[in-house]
Amino acid sequence: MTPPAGVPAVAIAGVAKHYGDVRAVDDVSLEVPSGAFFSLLGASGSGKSTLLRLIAGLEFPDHGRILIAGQDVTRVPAYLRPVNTVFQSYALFPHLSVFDNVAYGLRREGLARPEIEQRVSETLRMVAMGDFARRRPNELSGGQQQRVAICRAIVKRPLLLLLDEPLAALDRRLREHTRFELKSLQDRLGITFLMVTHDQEEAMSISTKLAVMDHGRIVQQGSPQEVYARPRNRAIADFIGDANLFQVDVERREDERTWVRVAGGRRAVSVTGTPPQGDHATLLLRPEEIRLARDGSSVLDGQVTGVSFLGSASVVMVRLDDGRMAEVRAQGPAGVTAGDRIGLTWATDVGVLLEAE
Amino acid sequence: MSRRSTFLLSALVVGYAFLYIPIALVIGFSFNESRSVAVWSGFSTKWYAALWENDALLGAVGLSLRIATVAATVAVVIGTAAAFALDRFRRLPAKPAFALLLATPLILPETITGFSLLLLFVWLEEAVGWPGGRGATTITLAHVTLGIAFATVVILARLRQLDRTLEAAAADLGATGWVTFRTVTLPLLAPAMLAAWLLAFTLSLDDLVIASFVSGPGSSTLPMVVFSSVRLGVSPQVNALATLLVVAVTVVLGLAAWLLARHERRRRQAA
Amino acid sequence: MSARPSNANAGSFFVAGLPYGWLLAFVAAPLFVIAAISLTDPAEGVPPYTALVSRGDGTWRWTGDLDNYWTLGGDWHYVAAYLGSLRVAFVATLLTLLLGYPMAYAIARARREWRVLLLTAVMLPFWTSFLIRVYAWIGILNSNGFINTALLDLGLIEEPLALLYTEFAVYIGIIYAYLPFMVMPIFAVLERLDRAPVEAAMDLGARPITAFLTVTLPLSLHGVLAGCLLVFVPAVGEFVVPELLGGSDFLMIGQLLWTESFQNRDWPLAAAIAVALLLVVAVPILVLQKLSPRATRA
Repeated sequence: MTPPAGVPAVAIAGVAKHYGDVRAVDDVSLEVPSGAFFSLLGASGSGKSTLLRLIAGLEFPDHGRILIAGQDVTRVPAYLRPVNTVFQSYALFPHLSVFDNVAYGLRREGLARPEIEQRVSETLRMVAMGDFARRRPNELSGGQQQRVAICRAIVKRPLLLLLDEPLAALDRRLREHTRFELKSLQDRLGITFLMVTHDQEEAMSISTKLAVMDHGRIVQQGSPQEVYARPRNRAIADFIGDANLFQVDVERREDERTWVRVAGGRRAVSVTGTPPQGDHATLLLRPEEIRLARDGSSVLDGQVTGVSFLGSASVVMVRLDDGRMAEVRAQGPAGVTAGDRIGLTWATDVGVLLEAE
Repeated sequence: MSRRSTFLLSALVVGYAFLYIPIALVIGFSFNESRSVAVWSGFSTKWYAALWENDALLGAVGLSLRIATVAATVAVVIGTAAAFALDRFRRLPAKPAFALLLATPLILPETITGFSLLLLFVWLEEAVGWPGGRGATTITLAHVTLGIAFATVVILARLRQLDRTLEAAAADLGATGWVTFRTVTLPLLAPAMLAAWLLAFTLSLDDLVIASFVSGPGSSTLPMVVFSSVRLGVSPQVNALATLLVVAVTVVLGLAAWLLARHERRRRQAA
Repeated sequence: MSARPSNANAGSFFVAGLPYGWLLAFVAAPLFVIAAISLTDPAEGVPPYTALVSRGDGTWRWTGDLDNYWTLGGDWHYVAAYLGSLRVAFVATLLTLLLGYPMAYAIARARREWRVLLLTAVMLPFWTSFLIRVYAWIGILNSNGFINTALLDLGLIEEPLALLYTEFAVYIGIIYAYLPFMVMPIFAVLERLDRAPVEAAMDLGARPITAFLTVTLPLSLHGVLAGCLLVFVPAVGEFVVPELLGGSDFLMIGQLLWTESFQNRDWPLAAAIAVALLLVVAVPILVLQKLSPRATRA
């Protein structure tokens, strides 16, 4: 079942899929390491679902190759691929009971009845659905339906589990809870998960690796931490997490760091990493990287327009003196109220320099 | 092309060929010079001329058109009422029985419908002295009954889609029930009523079995005349008549479709 | 509710009462009348049947009996007609399904702009005369008809095939006449069917044909059922098709009913035939009635 060590679960090379003039997937190359929880993150229409369907074998690419565990499956139809899918709206068979839904794939393999029964019950118990085997899908709640959909896919013991927005149809509370369940399920099964989602928080919180898609292309991939800390461009920065973006002039370049001056700022600050070309750039600062300063050590000054207290943290909205807005996330209570004059500062070498707009 | 789409395409080709080749042959051989409806021997319109001189046939056409017009009109009126009763009256007594009665003529074999109506008319005449013999009146009554069932289905479908707030708005503006119906509901329902009328009209014009059962001497409808002539064997004269019927139906349906499409377009533009 | 003006109530009464009255008079009453007359005996004169109750010796006496039903059940001629009609209707329904389902499926899968055209093309023959459509096949199946002439000319056969006046011709006629009634309800269900469960089936290892048999077909079953009933019920009582295309080796019930009422003028027996036929088709009708609200709601 498991591919040899070092062989990626999925390897995609130069894959493209067009619908008429629309390039749904445009020259995508990607490797999903075996055992990973990999997320394809993108807005709707970014091509992430089409890419998933290409890997599932529900569509075939116009160009490129798809390898699953080292085997070329580019032209192999869905029913012969060692891949199973949890569909977005679950796509449960409405005319079959929960048990028969889960047993469906095993019956196609022609397994013996006792083995089918044993594997189905075992898998249903794994997701705490053992008591619902005789029910019809329309007698289940959304969360229960989702668990049956997962069950139906993993009972086949695929090399790779594809999940198409598996949490989108759940309400918010259930969604956050289910995230952790998915993660722990993946740990127990050791199957590679490839999830498509438009929810960056979801992707960040459970993936070991993720790829951001836009207009049919993969614009960045890496671990959630890497992509969060070093987004390649402003669109990704905006899409992943909250971001403060400041226009800066480059003052001086050193080996390791670049000194820049924020527009309207009191002093130059240093930033590490590879700086973009030219004299102008955009500085990205995450809200939690900025500190409130009352002692005159600030880089920028402004006035607090609003504070929301979230319990473990507070979010402070600040109108800078040049009129732009900034968002600051402080641990615990912020100790400021709307109307206060306030300064903003941050530690040396914090932040990322992006291309100027 | 995949095997699946090849199969589906051939299903369509076979299906439509099956549906249309017989009609095409009927039309084609109506212009045949000889009596044969299988061997082509030259173009002629003489069978159409012969039709024109067939008085029994022309009389039957007239009777059928009269019956169909009256039956379709009455059926649409009663069918509209039935659709309203089903859709709007929550406290209609024995609603399931009402729906069952409405559906019965749709699916009952027409031999049973015809024969049961024959016995009803005979029994009624015995009991109350009406309808006084069988003929155009009894055929019309039977066709109204059949027409109601079909008309109600068509009108009910449209009625269920109607935006009830329009009627509420009219009532709110002071319109009485009847005025609301006349100025708001009826115009919205008109296309469905036209479709229902055409359906009831066609059914009446087309019916052989029920009409045969409830008709009396001297009142033969068009299908009855055609049937007795068909029983004697094929004849290009019947082909010619069939061709005229197909042309008439196509023209009427085309006209109706055009009217409905125009109505729909105007409504969209207005919206 | 009680505050409504009285003329609105009168209007409502009229709107509901008119169709209700009509249906009771011309749908329900006739069925009671045939049921009653089926219990009487034939008689000379007008009407050609005896009374159900008669007055003799100053008391009302019930004179109805089940004689006509015993005649039906005891005479092989009638039993054969029933069994034959059921068989013909069953086989014809099955054949119509085999042609109609793939058509409905293909239309449902066709591009949107094609669908209306294809559907109209299925329904169009329904608007032309039923009689003419059956008549068309006489010219095709006749011993000097289109098929035989063509086959003889091509030298494929020595003498004409007996196509007309056979059970085969009756099947052709019924399929031809009722195909639209099979295609429409199946199409209506297939068009609304979600693609996702079929894809899920393939994802789980089902080949396309297996996915069709285990998912699409079961999910379209109520359309299939509706279509089959819409073909089967009228086919059992069919008169025109077997009369014009069928052979003389057996009569279908519809023909029997026709003969008994027009030629033999044995109305009580004909009524019993009709009642027995009604019982045969009542079951499917009630099933359809149960199904139809669901079909219209979806």
